[in-house]
Amino acid sequence: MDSTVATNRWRGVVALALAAGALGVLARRPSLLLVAVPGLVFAAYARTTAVGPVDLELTRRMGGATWRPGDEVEVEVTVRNAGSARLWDLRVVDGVPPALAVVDGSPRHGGVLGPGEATSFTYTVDARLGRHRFEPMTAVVRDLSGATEYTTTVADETELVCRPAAAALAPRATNRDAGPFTGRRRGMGVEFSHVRDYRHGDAARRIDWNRYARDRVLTTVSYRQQRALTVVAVVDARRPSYRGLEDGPDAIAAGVTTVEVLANGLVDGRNRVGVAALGWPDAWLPPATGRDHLAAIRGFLAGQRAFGVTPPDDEPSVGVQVDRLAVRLPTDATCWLLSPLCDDGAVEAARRLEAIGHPVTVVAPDVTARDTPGRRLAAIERELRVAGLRRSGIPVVEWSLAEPLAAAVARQGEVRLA
Amino acid sequence: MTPARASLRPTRVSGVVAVAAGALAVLVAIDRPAAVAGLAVLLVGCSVAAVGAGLVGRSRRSSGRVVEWVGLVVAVVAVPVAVVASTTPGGSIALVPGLVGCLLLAVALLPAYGSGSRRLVRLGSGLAFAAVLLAALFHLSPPTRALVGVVLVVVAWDAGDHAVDLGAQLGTRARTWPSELVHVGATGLVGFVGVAGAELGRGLSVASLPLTAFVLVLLAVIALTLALHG
Repeated sequence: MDSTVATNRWRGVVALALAAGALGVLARRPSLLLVAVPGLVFAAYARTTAVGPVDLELTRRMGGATWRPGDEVEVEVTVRNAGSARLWDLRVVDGVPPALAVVDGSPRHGGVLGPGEATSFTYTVDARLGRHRFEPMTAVVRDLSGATEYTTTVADETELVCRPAAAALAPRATNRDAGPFTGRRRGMGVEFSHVRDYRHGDAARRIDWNRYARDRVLTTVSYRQQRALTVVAVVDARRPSYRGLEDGPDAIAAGVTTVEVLANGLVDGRNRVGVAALGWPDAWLPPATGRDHLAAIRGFLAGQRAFGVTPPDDEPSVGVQVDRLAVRLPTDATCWLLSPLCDDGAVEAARRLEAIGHPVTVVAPDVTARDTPGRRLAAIERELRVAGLRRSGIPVVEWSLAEPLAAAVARQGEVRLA
Repeated sequence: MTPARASLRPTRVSGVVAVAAGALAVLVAIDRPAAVAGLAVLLVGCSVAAVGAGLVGRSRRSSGRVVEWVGLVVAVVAVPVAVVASTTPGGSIALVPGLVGCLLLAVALLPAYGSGSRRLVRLGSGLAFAAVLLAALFHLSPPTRALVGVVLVVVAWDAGDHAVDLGAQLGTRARTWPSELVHVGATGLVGFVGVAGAELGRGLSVASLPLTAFVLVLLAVIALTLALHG
């Protein structure tokens, strides 16, 4: 990509000047011969100016880390000439992420840049759900006369992250425990359960010291044990799910950002959250909890190829994939399946998980359109899948992407907003 | 908000400089009242057309197109009128390529159709160049003026070519005027050096040399050019 090419744009000028000189000779007009002189000067000018390798530095700033869908994000781009030569004619085109549209300003810029100097420009993009990686900026540098041209790209790892507004989706309880949040097991906790005699090995802070002071009897207070939930978010990243609205985010991007938001709400409550992807057997983040794990989830979602823009090459059947996933799932794990429900495989995956004892809640971003008969048919098929899942007792959060996720969650009868 | 479409039309600063330099070149070479009047009408027509094209770009499509066509018709009519009004036959012969060249330059760079045309820029400046040479042949202006005219034609071509090229890469929404002015300024400066060099040559009274000496000088010039092109 980095290369200097000759534009040969001055060739015609020199030829014309020489032709004029020849005309001067033929017409015996010395004054016309002199016309060749400026032509020669221009030829020398084009010859003496040239552009060599260019060293550019790029920084992008967006005045924020994460955005909501529909936000207008102002991107400030600064290009610095880190080389020692003056760039007389610098043209840059910024690598705007393909899914984002520029609504104001221009991601293109031109200028003259001395050594060490910097120039900046801003443009505004419409934020859409997903993690959008900026592509390298393309820079074309011409010398003063335009005789040579150097093309290069400058990369800056910038990401525009756009997540839905915070929403909480209460995981369904497994059959092993009744009651969603407080368990029946006694021990450490907050809520009082009962008092019993002291046994060797009980923690000193669980001893009822007031009673000891009064009666000189050691008793131990038991509390209802707080049960931590284990939730595995399964992103349906199989080939059929690589769908998107005409100019909107694709279903995977919506699913990925949703996982981030939902995990945020759960991990704070000391629950354990893991991430897996259908279609990508290697994508597996074991459930864990804590702030560090939240960062790990973000890194996992950002880094895995499963959550990128290219679908998997080949994949086994859904049944096989779910069985493989089931081996990894902790026995008490409940699942969120994030799927656009674009094919029956997603329904099968949900039913299978449910059947092997992992309660499933489906979050289904709606990426169907209704402008052509074919698309209407696809939309109806999807509605039938939603209805079928609900009949089997699997809650489905139907999310139209235009509304806040929390509103979609609230609309579901069986799913509570925690 | 609706997405902003990148408008990859020729950039404005270089485009205006190109048309102005082309007109000035013809004016310098053919200093006749008919040329002055013809160019004035032509430039007014082109300006009106440019305003119309700007209106089209601002989503006032039909009225913009009307204004644009009125301007273009005025500019086209200026050519035969000026030629007929010219009093000397040499003047009329030189005026035709001169005015048509300026018109083509303007049409090539008008912010209306596609991303401009480098070919039209080349053709337009070529015709203006022919006009300057014809004017020099017919003794319509002193030799120095012919030199200045040739340099102005080069500036017009350079600015026009730059406008199309820069417009195709960055479009008119990007801020490009500083580098455009620097580029055109540099070309103008080099042209000035060229004129000064040629004048110096005349000062050495090359004109009194015999024709064979001229031919030798020309051969030397060709050899030097070839050497420069490597």
